[in-house]
Amino acid sequence: MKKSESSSAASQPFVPQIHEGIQFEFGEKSINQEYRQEVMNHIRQDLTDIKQGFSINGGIDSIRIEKAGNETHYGGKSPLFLTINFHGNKELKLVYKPRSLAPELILEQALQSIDGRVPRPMLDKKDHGYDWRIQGDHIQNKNSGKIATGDSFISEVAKLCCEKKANKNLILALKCMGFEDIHGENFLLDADRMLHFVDAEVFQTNMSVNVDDICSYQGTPNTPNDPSFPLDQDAEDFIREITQQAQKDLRQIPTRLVICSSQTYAIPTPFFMKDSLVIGKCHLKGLKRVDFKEYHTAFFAKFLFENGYIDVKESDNLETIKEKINEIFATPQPLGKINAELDAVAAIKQQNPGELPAFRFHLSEKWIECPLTGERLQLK
Amino acid sequence: MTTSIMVNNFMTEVHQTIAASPFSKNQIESKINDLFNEFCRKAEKFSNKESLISEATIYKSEILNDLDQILPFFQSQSLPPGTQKV
Repeated sequence: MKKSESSSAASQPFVPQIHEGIQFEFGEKSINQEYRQEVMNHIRQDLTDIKQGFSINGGIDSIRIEKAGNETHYGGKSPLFLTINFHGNKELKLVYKPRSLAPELILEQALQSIDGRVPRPMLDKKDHGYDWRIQGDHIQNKNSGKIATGDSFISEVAKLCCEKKANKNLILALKCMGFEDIHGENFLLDADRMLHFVDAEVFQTNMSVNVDDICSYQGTPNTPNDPSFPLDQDAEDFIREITQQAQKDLRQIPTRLVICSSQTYAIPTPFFMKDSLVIGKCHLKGLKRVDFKEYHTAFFAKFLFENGYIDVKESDNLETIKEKINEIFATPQPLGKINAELDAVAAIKQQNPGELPAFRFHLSEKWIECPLTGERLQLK
Repeated sequence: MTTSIMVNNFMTEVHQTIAASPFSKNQIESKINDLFNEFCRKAEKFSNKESLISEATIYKSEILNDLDQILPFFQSQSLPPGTQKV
């Protein structure tokens, strides 16, 4: 999620489009026609459930649709801000996501079990869903006014965790449940200074950014404005215990697998890649000089090692590791299929620079899905 | 192998410095070293500072070693600055 409610481009021209009796207004032309059609069909089919799920009645005047980020997956799809205008000036603000909201639902239910908060209303339709749009903004860097990153983000989160127990509970729940992709754009802060985690699609892969740095933050001694993260082992133990079922539930749904960084994927040069990668006792070196896909293979191997699927020895090299990868899959030529997906993403990227790979990984059923090519790789 | 918020941010700052920089190699080296020193100063606030500094040190060394290759590339092409996520 890239943009907050307050920073959405409200001044952009809206393009009306009548679809089966409903007036849709698209705020940005960069939403491709195929995706527009899919979204309009979904909304029309889901209207009754939307009204029921979000407790609103009445006829619809119009539905305004804006992009909620520049990053896209699955062929130009990104989250969308929906503003549904009902007769009588009633308005419903939602976020449409082109994926299941099951992870968010599990997280919200877990948070309710921890401190009794009311879960955020959502409607999950398996391959897409509607999330309540939080009225708030991202944590901002006080000097630049931009979305906070690095230590600026961490220190603000630590402060918010000191202010409100619910914020501390959220961070500890993210830690205990293994949520990843932790960065400022995935959090919103509401008017009551409550933090919300709004993009929970990456979890338990041991590959992306987690909350460890937040929990390790010690602040500045004797400086009330820069407190340490409020470590609380009892609270953490309680949350780990009470979210046990939720942790298991997450293993029953697919997560997005970030094999390699969006930075290295976004910039097609070897120069920003890491040259060495440690996989157990094996130190792979010279990665900048291998083929771009081989570089991804190294990170794929790292993922498989970190999750216990392959054993890597000190003496291994990329070639021997590739053989090991082939052995653990029931599906033939797994690396070829991963590379074919990367090629498919690269082809889209020529027209749509925001496109990034979005492999899906099912932790229990042990398959990896390549959304664009439709291939599914089954681990033995 | 999860990626640290702090190290991720350091990498992004290094990317942005190089991608947007009109400076000479020596000036860029100096800026990267400044970013690294700033990173080490910030890392003092973390209980996991040793691992943060260790990871950033490796990354900085790799980038500085390859600066001769990186700079001509940037002089010939226009690239987007580093993105926010790893």
